[in-house]
Amino acid sequence: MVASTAPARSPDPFVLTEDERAVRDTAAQFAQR
Amino acid sequence: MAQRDEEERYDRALFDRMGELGLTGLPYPERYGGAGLGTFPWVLACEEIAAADMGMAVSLSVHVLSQLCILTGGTDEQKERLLPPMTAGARLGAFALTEPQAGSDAAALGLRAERDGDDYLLTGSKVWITNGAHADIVIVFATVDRSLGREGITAFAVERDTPGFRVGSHERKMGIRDSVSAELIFDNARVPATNRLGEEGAGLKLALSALGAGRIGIAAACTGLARAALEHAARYATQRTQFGRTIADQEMVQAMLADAATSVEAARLLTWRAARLRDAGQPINAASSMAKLYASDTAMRVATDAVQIYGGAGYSRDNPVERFMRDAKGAQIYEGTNQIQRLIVAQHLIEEARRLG
Repeated sequence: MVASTAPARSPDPFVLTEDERAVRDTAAQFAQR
Repeated sequence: MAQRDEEERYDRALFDRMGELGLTGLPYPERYGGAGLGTFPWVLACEEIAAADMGMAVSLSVHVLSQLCILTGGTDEQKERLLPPMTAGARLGAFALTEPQAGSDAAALGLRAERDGDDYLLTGSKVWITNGAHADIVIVFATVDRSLGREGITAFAVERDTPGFRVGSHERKMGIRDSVSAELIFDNARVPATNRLGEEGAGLKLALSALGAGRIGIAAACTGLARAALEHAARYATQRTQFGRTIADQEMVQAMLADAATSVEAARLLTWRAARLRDAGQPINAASSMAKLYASDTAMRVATDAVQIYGGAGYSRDNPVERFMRDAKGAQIYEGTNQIQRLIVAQHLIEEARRLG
């Protein structure tokens, strides 16, 4: 499985909130199985 | 994954697991069991899932699309009755618009809905229905009167155990083979009028509106596929040695990787922009079409270049990049061909130019 290239912190308006990061990480963990 | 692709097998247990993780109702209101997070987190999830398994991302995307039809077209009673099991992932949704003679020209559909007391009798067939073979609830678009054209098209939520409704043959596809696409057959299928979504004649508008939003999820999935293809290609290029050095040292390979990386970032930004616009309540028609068009073309190009970088190994089914290439091709066709997306973008542009004089 590949790691996300989406930046954890990026310039506005693309800063990910905690909720957004949590969703992304949940989906990534599911996908890695 | 490779085995499910080989066997053309859908794994419902994976979908159930996505439900347990809260991924099956992410964008929708908590009142109906969703996470209430809107479109943007949804696209983040789609990209991650598609990077590993495009078929499962497409299945999830269509499930979410089917819920959107209920959310935007349904009554309060229908939303409260139908949505919670879908947001929870306990019931799988499908979206049935396409017919053998009505693809891009969706308004030409011929599946008939005839009122019969408190029910409608549906007769005809649908084809290429993602999740169709396994769905518990199918959003079906039928016409109450063909002479009315698009004004006759009406939406229904058809439940799996509906008398007269059955699953027909499965398509034998090039790609996304772990997401089964099926024919659905309606033979005087008796659907209660309480499962009609919106008024008679409101169905096509509902379908097109839902597809506009659904394209953002497909764009995100394509970004994920392209990213995965790029990362596999970059890793392989650093490992494969020819002429005494890795092929990553060859400038022609570097150019392919650089173009791919730039396109993946651009596809992601178009997708994120469309998602942010939708969450802000702004019009998304052109933005979602641009995202879907660009991201699916990117997925196809990057996957094709990944096969090229792998060379003979990429042409083998023992490596995943050939699957990426097969999976990407479908995304240029479904949820509105990329030719239709270009028409939508052009129409938007022309309308704006005329409006501004």
